[in-house]
Amino acid sequence: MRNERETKMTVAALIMLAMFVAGAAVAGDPASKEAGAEMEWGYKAGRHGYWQEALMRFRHANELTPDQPRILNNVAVAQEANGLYEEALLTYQEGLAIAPNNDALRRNYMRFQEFYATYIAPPEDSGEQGTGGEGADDAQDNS
Amino acid sequence: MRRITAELFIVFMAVAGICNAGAREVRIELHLKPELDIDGTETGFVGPVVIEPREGEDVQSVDLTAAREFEIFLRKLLRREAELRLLPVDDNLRPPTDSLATLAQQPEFWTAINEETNADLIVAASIDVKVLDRAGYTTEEYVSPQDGKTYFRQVLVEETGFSYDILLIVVDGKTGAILHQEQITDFMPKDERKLKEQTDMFTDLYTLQNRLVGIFVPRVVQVKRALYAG
Repeated sequence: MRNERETKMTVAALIMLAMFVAGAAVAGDPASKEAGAEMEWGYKAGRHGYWQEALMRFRHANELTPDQPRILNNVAVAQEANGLYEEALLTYQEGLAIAPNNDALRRNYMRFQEFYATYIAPPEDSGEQGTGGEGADDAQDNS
Repeated sequence: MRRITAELFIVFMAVAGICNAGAREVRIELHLKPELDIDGTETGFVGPVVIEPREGEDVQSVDLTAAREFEIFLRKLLRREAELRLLPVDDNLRPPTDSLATLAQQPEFWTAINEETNADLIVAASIDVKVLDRAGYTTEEYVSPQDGKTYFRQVLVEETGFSYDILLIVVDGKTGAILHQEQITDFMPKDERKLKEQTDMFTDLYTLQNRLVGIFVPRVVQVKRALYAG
């Protein structure tokens, strides 16, 4: 009997917690809502290869709700896709200063650093070694 | 009870996950500018390809083969990828020295080639190829899965193949000025038995091809990045 009651209470608590998390993500102030919509549009634009549009959307989202690691991550990726490598570097660093443990940011930054060191600013006197090796970890050259 | 809690936890994670949509991997194309500002109407002359002199050593057959193979490879690459209008080979070209660094300091040598061939760009290289066929023992750390202790063990390391050290320069034919200089080091592993086959020495050398093409034409590199969907 007691176990049944405990179960019900646990269920109720978990549902409330889930709703709270869901609510917090969906609701919020108008700026957050608009930023969320911009992020969605930007993501869709990026997926279709419209990276200028995506960058504009992500930047707008960043103006609406500054210092959000998720938004900064997307801004940096869009900057990369638009060839703004120096700016992307700064944006990644800005994002990591705010959220050093953000997995996506960290992974992207590591990959970007490899790409940057290989193609944009290779260190002086560094002969590239290895046949068939690719510069960036997952980079595929389509020259 | 435990089972119900576990199931609820999964539902909770799913709801929370949907609302906080995570990062998704996307493939993006990164554009790289070429090193040289050319429009594709330029004429190009390949040569000379010299063998980098080594102190106390004579030129070996592998050096001669490598220089010849590299010139063929370079011409093929420039013709196919760089969209340069390549001029025919000049068999009578005899540089005053085998040192490309010295030649680079002599603009008159390059302007003379320009007068002879009318080449806008001159692509020259010096090459140093070493045949690596060595084996030896090295000590490495080893953590035993049995007792977790660290031991040291001897490991046989074999290294067979060709090691390349190439200096490539692109010269403005009209002025003799160096437009671009690239030092490329690469290694092609070869089976010990195939070390004597000195043909197609430069094919499938990704690094070399990649760097050479990047001097003349824009490139696109495909990479993966994590992007938040909302």
